[in-house]
Order: sequence, then structure tokens, then C-alpha cells
Amino acid sequence: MNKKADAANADSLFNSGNYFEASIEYEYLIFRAEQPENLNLFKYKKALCYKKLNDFNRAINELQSAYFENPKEDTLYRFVCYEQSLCFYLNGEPQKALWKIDEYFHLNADSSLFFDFLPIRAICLNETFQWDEARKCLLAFVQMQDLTTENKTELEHLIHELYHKKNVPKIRSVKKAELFSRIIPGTGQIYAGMTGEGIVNFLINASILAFTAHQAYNGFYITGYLAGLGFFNKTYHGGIKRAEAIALQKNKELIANLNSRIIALISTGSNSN
Amino acid sequence: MRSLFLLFFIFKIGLATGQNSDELKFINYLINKGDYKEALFLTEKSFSDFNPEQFDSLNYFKGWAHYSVKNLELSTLSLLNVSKSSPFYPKSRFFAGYNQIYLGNYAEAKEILIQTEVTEDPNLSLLTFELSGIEMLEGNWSEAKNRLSALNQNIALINQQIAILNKICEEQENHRQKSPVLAGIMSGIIPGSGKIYVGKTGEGIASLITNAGFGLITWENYRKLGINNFKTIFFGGIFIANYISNIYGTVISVKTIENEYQNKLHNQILFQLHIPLRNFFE
Amino acid sequence: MQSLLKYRKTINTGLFLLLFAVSGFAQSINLNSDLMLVDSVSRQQIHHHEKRDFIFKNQPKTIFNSNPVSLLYGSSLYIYQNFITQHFSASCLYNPTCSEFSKHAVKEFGIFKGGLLTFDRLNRCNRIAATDLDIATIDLKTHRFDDSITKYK
Repeated sequence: MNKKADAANADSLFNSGNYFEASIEYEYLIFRAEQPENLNLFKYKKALCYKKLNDFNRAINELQSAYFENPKEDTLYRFVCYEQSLCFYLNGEPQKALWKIDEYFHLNADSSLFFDFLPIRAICLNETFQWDEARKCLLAFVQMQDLTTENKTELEHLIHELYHKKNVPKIRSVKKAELFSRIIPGTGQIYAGMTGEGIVNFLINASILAFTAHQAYNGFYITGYLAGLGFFNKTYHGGIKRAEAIALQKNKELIANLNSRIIALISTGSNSN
Repeated sequence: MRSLFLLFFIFKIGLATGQNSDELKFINYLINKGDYKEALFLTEKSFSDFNPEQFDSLNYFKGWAHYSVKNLELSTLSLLNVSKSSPFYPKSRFFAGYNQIYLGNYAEAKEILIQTEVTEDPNLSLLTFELSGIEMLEGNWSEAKNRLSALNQNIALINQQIAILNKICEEQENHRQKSPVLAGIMSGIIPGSGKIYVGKTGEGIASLITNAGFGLITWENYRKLGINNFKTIFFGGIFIANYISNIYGTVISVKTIENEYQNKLHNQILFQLHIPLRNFFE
Repeated sequence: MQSLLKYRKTINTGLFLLLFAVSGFAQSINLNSDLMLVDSVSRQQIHHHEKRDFIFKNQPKTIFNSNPVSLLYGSSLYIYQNFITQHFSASCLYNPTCSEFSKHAVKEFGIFKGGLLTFDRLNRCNRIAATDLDIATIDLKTHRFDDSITKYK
């Protein structure tokens, strides 16, 4: 059995979409590898298999095991960094993705190679609410393309529009949502973006309190205390917890929408009008 | 010409065997790495040019990978295919037996273990040890005790487990199921007391608190509004439902507690049967 | 429509040729498809509130599921599961949750025994009763204790 044939076999498995089998073939190549420089290549390709199989955690582990003695001179380094940052993002770790990208940028003086990293970086910056940085990133991305000046200005305009104060997602503060619901039940939910649920929560809490007050006023102290306040305790704290959860969920949705628009802008082009 | 052909043939076999052992090494490497799914995928390929020894290794690896991903039936099938001459034979037989014990197929497990050919002592004692474990799982406590006492006590590998199994036997002998009738009556007199009696102290206290709460609310409404008022009926209804359900819950909890106890014992025995296997074969 | 990614070929051709020598398949970055993947993965992460069914949905009408008590129970359970449960602070200790357990129990044993089991379960679902639970039996995926109605058959 000859090694070159093996690598070709693995590649053809990958190209025909048999990612699981391809990952085993690459592992076999790693297992038998005599030259360490090929090792990183096989690990990279194995990680691509896992990415295709949506197993991002495993892809990250595979890429992290790749070791570069001379990252500046190794062309593969760029690809490994790119996939690693992408998989970090896909695995729900945008902060780690940003660190990886910055590490790559730091090691490389040639900024023309940054191109592919920029959209991923912008998307990760959005996740951490750094609008200005994200906008700069996208503008740099536009500048690096070979488009006509007219197209570029138009794209820049669109990006500025996306990050305009009016259009930038209104991120809900989890702490504020919690505080609002603590002061007046239901208001936290309304602040976080679910008006209907907030009103229902307010009404539930208000009616329980009214019941309690009514009972106590008429001398039913035990009923008021046990049935009224006992119940209120549950809905009051429940509302606070729920407001936090809604704020988190809403933020996720807003960021996903923004990223979706950016992706649409990048992948379909802009000269539709 | 003929000798040349023969030479070529021998060379070809040698090449094939070299490759095969490489494949086997790779499968072993995957298993050690924890990539069981990948290892299993490879063992499913056809290996028509394997010699018997390599087949044994292959079956062992296959069985071990299946065992690691908890496909115990398939694991047993592969492990039983390992022949006596293989160095993996004792481990394969013991783990095939353990798989069947774990699956609750005690008759099959006994058959596998009894038919295993072992002669020297650690293996022989281990075999008796596993068999006594099966007797315990089947509920033949006295038989299990006989077997355990017949075992050589000087084998470091299992003497700790023997002591634990003996203790479990004793525990089982002293175990008495609580009376559901008594528990129910107790819960009827003081809500929750029956649950404390059967061993669920927290549940008993919680039941007592809720019953007392609804009871107090009902009492207050009854005292002030009389029996025919809606509020009295409403809270009284909840109180009665809660009160009856507490008695009912106490009665059925005797059964669930007994089941929990038996499960715990079962798992303890399985665990103790597993420890020496892992220690000895790894 | 013009793709913004066309330019990439010019930059990567050099790399392509270099790496082609090492293997039969050159690595490349397909930014477009990666961004599509990002989009689909982030869409999946957005959680949508699932609607929970009425207890007697798709059941033939019988005396057991169409008497007023069952209907009252069924509709209050439906309202609770879809509109009320999110307003409560405590999340259930068990899997299935108390309301789901109640649903199963009433379906399986009828309104009387099911109701008794439900009250018993509610009494067991609090911090005091939780002291009796064996932490070793917790389900690591759901972080809840398994307590299905099959235990009470």
C-alpha cells in the first residue's frame, strides 16, 4: 500500500461526501505518518470532515492538536486558524474565535491575507455587541475586494446604514430586565420584548395580591397569608427569572438577525438596484 | 517457473499479513483513543485474507468496542468468537459473561462462564466469584453464600469484593419490607407520618406542612363562613384531595421504595462483579 | 448579481499550487458556504416556544374523556402548560415534569387514580422532599430525577 494512494483515497472520500469514512482515512494517515509536516495537513483535513458532520467541538480539538514550529512561514497555518476560529464561533464560543483571529493577525504582517477572517470576526464582534469594531471590520473587508469604486461606496453606505444608531439592535440588559420585574412584576418582560407575557404576568401578580389584601381586610389572615402570599411568592420570583430568560433569548434573536443580514449582504452582492 | 510462482505467492501472503496487522494496530489505536464508532466501522469491513490469529484479535477488538459503546448483545457475540489459543481468550470470555449478567440473561451468563476453560488460580477464583454474583442476582442467597465461602480468601484481586458481597448477603437477610397497611393508617392519623415510617422523612415533613396549610385555610373559612360557602368547599376540596392522596401515596411508596432498594442492591452487585474484571484485565 | 467573493481566486492561486504538490486536494476557504453554515447554525439556536397538546387530543370520544370533570381538568391543564407555567419560579425536580406526569397518569389510570398520583407528586416536588432523593440517580442530561408513571403501575 502506498501512502500517496491513501491520501488520494481519503480526499476522494471527502469529495464524494463520505465525511465519516474520510475522517477515519485521515486518522489512518496520521497513525502512519512518518513526516511531521504532513501531520498538520491531515489533522486539518480531518477537522474539515468533522465540520461537515457538524461536530464542531471535535473539529476544534483536532485543529488544536496541530503544532506549527514556524507559523509565519507555514501556509497551512492560515487555514488552520481560519477553521479554528470558525468552529469556535459555530460551537457557541465567539470570544475564543476572536482570540484566535487576533492571534493570527498579530503574527502576520501581510494584511491581504486577513480577508477571509474579516466577516467571521465581524460576526463574532456582533455577538459581543462591539458595533464599531464590527463595522470597521466589514469596511476593511469591502476595501479589500476588487470592485468598482461605485460598488464599494454603495456597499460602504449599506454597512454604515446597518450600524446606524437607529438600526443597530437594541440589546436588552439582563440586569435591567431583572430589576424592572423586581420593582413592578411584568415590566421586565415588557422591556425584554414580550409585551403580552408581561401584561399577563402583571395581571396574575396583581390579582393574587388583590386577593391577599381582600382576605386580610376581611379577617381571613390564614387564607390570605398561606394561599395568597404563598402563591404570590412563586409568581413574583418566577416573573423575575422569566424576564432574564426573555432578555437573553431576545438578544440572541437580534444578533442572529443582524448576522443574517450581513451574511446576505456578503454572499449575494449589492448591485441589485 | 513453479518455484517462482510459489515465491510470489508467499511474498503476497506476507505482504497481506503485514498490512492486516497494521490494520489491527490501527483499530487498537482507535479503541485506545476512545474512537469506538470509527473502530467499529473498520471491523465491519471484510477481512477474507486474515489468518485465524488475526481473526481472534479482530473479534476481540470488535467485542471490546461494542462493549465500550454499550452494545452488549453484539459485544457478546464477537467476544465469544475469540478462540482458546488467543491471548485475549480469558478476557473475552469473562466480559462476554459480564455482558450477559448486565443484560439480566443469567442462564446464558452461567453457561458462558462455566464453559470457559481456565486452569490457574486467579482466573479460576474469579470464575467462581462471578458465578456466586449471578446466584445473588437470581436471589439464591444461600447458594451464593456457599460459593463465596468456598473461595480462596488469599487472592488480593477479589478478597475485598468477597467481603462486600458477603455483607450484601447479610443485609438482604435482615431486610424487612415495611407494612403498607400500617404506613397508610399512620398517614391517616398524622399526615406524612407514614412516609417518615417507611423511610422518606423529607416527603413526610413536606406532606405534613401542605396538609396543615390547607387544613388551616379550610378551618378558617369554615369557622367564619360555614360549610356551605364556596370558599370553604373549594379549599376543603383541595384539603381532602390532598389528604387522601397522601394516604394513597404512602401506601404505594412502600412498593416503590422496595423497588428502589432492590435496584440499588442489584447495581451494587453488578458494580462489585465488574471491579475485579477491570483490575485484572487492564 | 455579482458575487463579492470572486476576487479570492487571485490571492489564493499561489497557495493552491504550492499545496497541490503535497496532496491531491488543495485546501481552500469557501467563505460563502461557511457563512451559510454560520447562518443556519445560529438560526437553529433560537429557541421557539413549543405548543403543548390538549390531553385528549385525537382520542375517540368516550365517557371518560368527555365528562365535565375531565374536560375541566383537561382545559385547565392545557391553559397551565401553555400560558401559566412560565410565570412560576420553581422548575420541577423530576422528569417528566409534574404537569406532564399528571397528563400521563390521567390518560393511563383515569381521573381518580391519576388525580391522587398528581397530588402525591406535587407534595414530593419541593425542597424538603428533595432531601430524600438519591443524587446518584439524577439524569445528567436533563438535570432531573426520572420519575415516570411506569413506577406506579
